[in-house]
Amino acid sequence: MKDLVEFLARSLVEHPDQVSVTEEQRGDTLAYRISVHPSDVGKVIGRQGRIAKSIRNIVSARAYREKQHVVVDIDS
Amino acid sequence: MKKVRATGRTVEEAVRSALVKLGATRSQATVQVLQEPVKGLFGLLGAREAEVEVCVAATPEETARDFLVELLRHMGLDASVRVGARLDGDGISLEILCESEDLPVVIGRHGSTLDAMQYLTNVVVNQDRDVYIRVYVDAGDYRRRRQEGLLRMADRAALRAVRTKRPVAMDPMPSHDRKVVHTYLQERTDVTTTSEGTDPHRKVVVVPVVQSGPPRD
Repeated sequence: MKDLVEFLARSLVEHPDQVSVTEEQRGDTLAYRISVHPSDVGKVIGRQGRIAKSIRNIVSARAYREKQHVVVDIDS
Repeated sequence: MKKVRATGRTVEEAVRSALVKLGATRSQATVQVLQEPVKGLFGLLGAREAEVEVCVAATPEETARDFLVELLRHMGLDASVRVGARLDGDGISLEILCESEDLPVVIGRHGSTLDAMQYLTNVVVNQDRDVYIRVYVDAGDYRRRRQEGLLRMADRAALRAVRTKRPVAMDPMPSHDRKVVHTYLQERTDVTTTSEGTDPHRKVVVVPVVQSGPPRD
């Protein structure tokens, strides 16, 4: 799951080497936190949060398949 | 961006063999000469072949396909991607091919996952491009089937609105689906359409021209 979040973030930013993703178990939920270069924050959020929403949708699709519950946050 | 190195007796020959390896034409490529050919003594001693490095920028189709293939792999899906025909204007289309049991995961509720993948592919393809290229992604013929389903639902709602002489609210749907319904029902003279609510619960309301009873508040 973490590799998927990292892949999505790296594909969207200008500084892929500065992408880091942390994973944390919160009860029965897996929480991921994406950190990117300050100038890239907009690239993973998008206008009206549209990119962030798409990332969450895709990650949830895989989570659904693995019967997990996942949330994705973005550091800003 | 694809890069390949090749050698040949002349620079021209080296470039040609590099282009063959890349399957590209001369006009798509940029060439860097690494080594000019050296004839050497009697054409033998100290002779060196020409060596070049040839780069071709990835086409939007390649960028889109590579991204989607990697994405699907990271999603744990065994799927492949077929590049479809170029569409009018600057649009390209791709189709995700997978086992039918995986289709619900690829498509998502009302196509939401398919839309998310399509949107991110658009972003990735247009990252450093001057002209915007629209990317369409489909799977299992979902887009066409959804379109037909929407028109059927619109017909049913219009029929009910006219029969009951009361407004009929349709199920909530994303904006491009609502647009399909609005546009389709525009052709009818016995109903008008509006939208109510806020996303993701916004829905089309079909209003009959002839209404009965007190108007809804």
